[in-house]
Amino acid sequence: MAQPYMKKDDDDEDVEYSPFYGIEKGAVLQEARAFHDPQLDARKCSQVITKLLYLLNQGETFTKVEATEVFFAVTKLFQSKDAGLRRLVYLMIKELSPSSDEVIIVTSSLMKDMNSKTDMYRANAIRVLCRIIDGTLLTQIERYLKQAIVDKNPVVASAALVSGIHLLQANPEIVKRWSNEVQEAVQSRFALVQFHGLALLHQIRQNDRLAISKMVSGLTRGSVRSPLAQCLLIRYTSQVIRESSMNTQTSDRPFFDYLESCLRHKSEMVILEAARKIAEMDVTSRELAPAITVLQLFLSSSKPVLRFAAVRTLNKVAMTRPLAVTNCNVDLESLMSDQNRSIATLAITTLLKTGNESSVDRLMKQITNFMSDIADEFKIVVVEAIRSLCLKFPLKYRSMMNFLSNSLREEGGFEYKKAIVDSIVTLISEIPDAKEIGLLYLCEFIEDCEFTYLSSQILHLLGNEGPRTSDPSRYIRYIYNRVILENATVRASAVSTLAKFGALVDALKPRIFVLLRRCLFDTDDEVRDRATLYLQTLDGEVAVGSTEKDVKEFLFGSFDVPLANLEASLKTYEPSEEPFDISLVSREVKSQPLQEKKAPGKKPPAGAPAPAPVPAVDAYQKILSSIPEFSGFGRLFKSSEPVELTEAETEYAINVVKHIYSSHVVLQYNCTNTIPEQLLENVTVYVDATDAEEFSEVCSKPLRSLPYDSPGQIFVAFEKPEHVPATGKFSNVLKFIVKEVDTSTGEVDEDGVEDEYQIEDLEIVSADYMLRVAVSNFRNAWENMDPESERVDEYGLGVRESLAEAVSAVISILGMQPCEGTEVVPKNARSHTCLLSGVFIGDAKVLVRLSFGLSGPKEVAMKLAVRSDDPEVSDKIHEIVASG
Amino acid sequence: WPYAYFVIYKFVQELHFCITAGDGDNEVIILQGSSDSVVQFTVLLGDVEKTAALKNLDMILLSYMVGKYFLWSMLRLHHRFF
Repeated sequence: MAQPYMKKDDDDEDVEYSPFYGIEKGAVLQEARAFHDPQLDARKCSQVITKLLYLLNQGETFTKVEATEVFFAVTKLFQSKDAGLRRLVYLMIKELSPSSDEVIIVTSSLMKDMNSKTDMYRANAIRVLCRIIDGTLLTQIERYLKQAIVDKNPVVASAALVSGIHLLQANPEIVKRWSNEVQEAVQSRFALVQFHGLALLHQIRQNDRLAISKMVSGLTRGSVRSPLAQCLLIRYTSQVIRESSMNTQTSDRPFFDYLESCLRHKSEMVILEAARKIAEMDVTSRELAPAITVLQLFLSSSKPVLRFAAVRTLNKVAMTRPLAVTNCNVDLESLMSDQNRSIATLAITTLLKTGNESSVDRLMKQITNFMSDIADEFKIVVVEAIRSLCLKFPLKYRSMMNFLSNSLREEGGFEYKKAIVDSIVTLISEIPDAKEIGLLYLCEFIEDCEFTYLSSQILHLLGNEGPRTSDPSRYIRYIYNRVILENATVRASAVSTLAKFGALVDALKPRIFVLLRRCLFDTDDEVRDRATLYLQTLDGEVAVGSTEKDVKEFLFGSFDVPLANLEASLKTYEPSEEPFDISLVSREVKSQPLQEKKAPGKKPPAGAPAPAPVPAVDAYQKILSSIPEFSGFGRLFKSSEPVELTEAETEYAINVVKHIYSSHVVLQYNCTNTIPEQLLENVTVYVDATDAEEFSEVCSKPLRSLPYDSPGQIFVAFEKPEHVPATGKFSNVLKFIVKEVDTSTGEVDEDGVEDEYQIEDLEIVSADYMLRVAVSNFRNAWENMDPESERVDEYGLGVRESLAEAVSAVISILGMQPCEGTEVVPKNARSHTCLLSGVFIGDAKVLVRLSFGLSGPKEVAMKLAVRSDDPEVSDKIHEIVASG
Repeated sequence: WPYAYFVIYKFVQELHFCITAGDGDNEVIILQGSSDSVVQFTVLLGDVEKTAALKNLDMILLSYMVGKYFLWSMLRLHHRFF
């Protein structure tokens, strides 16, 4: 008895009408038992398979046992003559991906279906079979597959071609034998077959550039009918053009006429594909214009997908060629109110790239109206685009700064507010006129800011920039309000900021003292400690020996001692009458063990200390200071990593550490005797410094006795010109008296034999005079260096295996610390910039900016810019690179 | 650059299609290939409502998954409906 149909108004109730409402895996698996019935109910079985496929599609997974049971149940259905059920069986087997021992069970049924007179059975059996078989079975059915590729039924041919694309991944050598049949498929009159044939043919030939070029050449002369195949052909053609222009460096572009003709195709997908590929190429403005024109037409299409595709493409073009897109500005402006928010946002960001200076004000007004309608993630995109626009038209900073400050007052999450603050900070640093208005807007923001991170960030900025403005006192109120009203972290930031004002603005110093003294009563010990420290630091009369320059360096300079090294030094410090001397802490950044490397290019979070390797320099300093002959050399500048002078498994294992002083070099030879039957006495190293003219031997400290397996040290000291990076090669011969040892009794023979042992040469190179010291902010450090100290030059590095190899070679020659992950070269990069920092002998800070580029096939060119505390040091860095 | 995606939506009465594709893919191809076959099928049924589509999900799965392979080599398609 049929019920009269009544549509309910409440849409939630519709869910109950779904045949899959409340569906459960266990229950459906129970229903699968129907597959075993001798009298199959085709309709019921179809419904059960549909439920199983629904579950899989929704992310449900079957256990191994469940999958096996379903698989065996499904195989029973091959006997059914119902066409729909048979096709569902094919789908189910494919989705279940049976294991290799289960494949055998269905292979014979599928192979029978492969040759069936029913075309639909043949097509689907081919698809399933190719999904589940391995290479061995593939050779058995290869003949049938090749016949299927040229079958007159397009469904069968397409199934075979698609299967070939899958099979090519695992069995390329077999599928490549089908080239002739695939070639024939590409000429098929059926669009479906042509498309799949072209895709497979390209895959087969993708490593043969010449073959692809010939394929493209033939097909662009007009035998391709399928719009989908046309799109594929456009992609392959672009690939050929790109590769040929890379090789020949000529302006000739084969097949470009074909791409241009596709702009007039009747199918929209072909037009879009051609326009996009032309826009991606390096073409002249005249060649680009027709592509821009068709995209402009799509901007006013009634179909949202075409508008979206066009504005997305134009957005990318505008990044590199904004002038080419300006003709579309009128159409883009009308899209700003598009009901599709993605289209509207893309239109705005494109206009922000292509608009001219006179249109900025109108744009800002429209954007303001638009912002309240979109979500935070779209707002962030707009804010970042506005920042770029402001850097492009600095004179318009006032209206854009107004926009950003109004946005700060609106509702929004942390990411959105952070994007706005970052934009204002960028504008402040890039546009001097915008500084004071920007700082005031940020001050207003922190009056009511709920995000600790942003408050601290802004306070830090105020500390650096505020004292240098025309009226620094106006910021004090905002800063001190943070001390009164905010949490401990923000209060501590505010105290540091107040100290910076006190250090730089003498007129404000008395008031700063009053405010800092009030902070001494804060409830948080970090805040109190900072106030105490800064009061002490700022009061120049109390701190004996400190100068105003020292105070400023302490407050504004970056902390140049790695925290790991400081921690290690403090741990080894033993309280005594001698105070802890921070200047003895090593500033060299130790490289991390290989397995602990962070992801390339990913910057570690600021302030997060790396796990601490024990700095060797402090240990060496102790050892060397205790030797009277070396105590007069002064402060140890650097100790190198041990350099092996012997091969593994030799009688005597020797490595050397190079200790660099300002006027001396001490070579420390670490020796190990690996022979139990021997005792070495009076062990010395005879160093031949003939090839190191600038070095003269001062003294040496031999090793009296070297028993088996007890390491010992030999020292040889050389004098060299002060603060000069003298280099040279040293030959080494180990000389000793060897005595026999009776290993059973431990007795040593009285008589010994003089002997010597040749060990490898060692070199002192320029990198030995460079201390790897990181800077926390390379750009700030670079700008704080005297531009007069800058030296710039270009070098040809010749033929290199890759850009990455050239980069690491130069870093190795200089021995400097890479900054901000710039030593990592992206794959296939054609240019790269690397930032290095360090301290040179004589305690001169050095910063290096390297720009690498490919100047020819595998030829690398490099531009080197050096800034340092001393212009002569910059010159020396260039000499090192020129001779290296 | 990290590999980027975009998502295209199409609403036909009660049916909502959400299709994700790679950054370099052609929006027109994605939309036409992915959803049109299902919509045409439901039009043949004379009813484009969700209920009808769900009741005949077996036929939709057949046409849809065939379409999946039809477009595989160009689209690297990820899809889900409902």
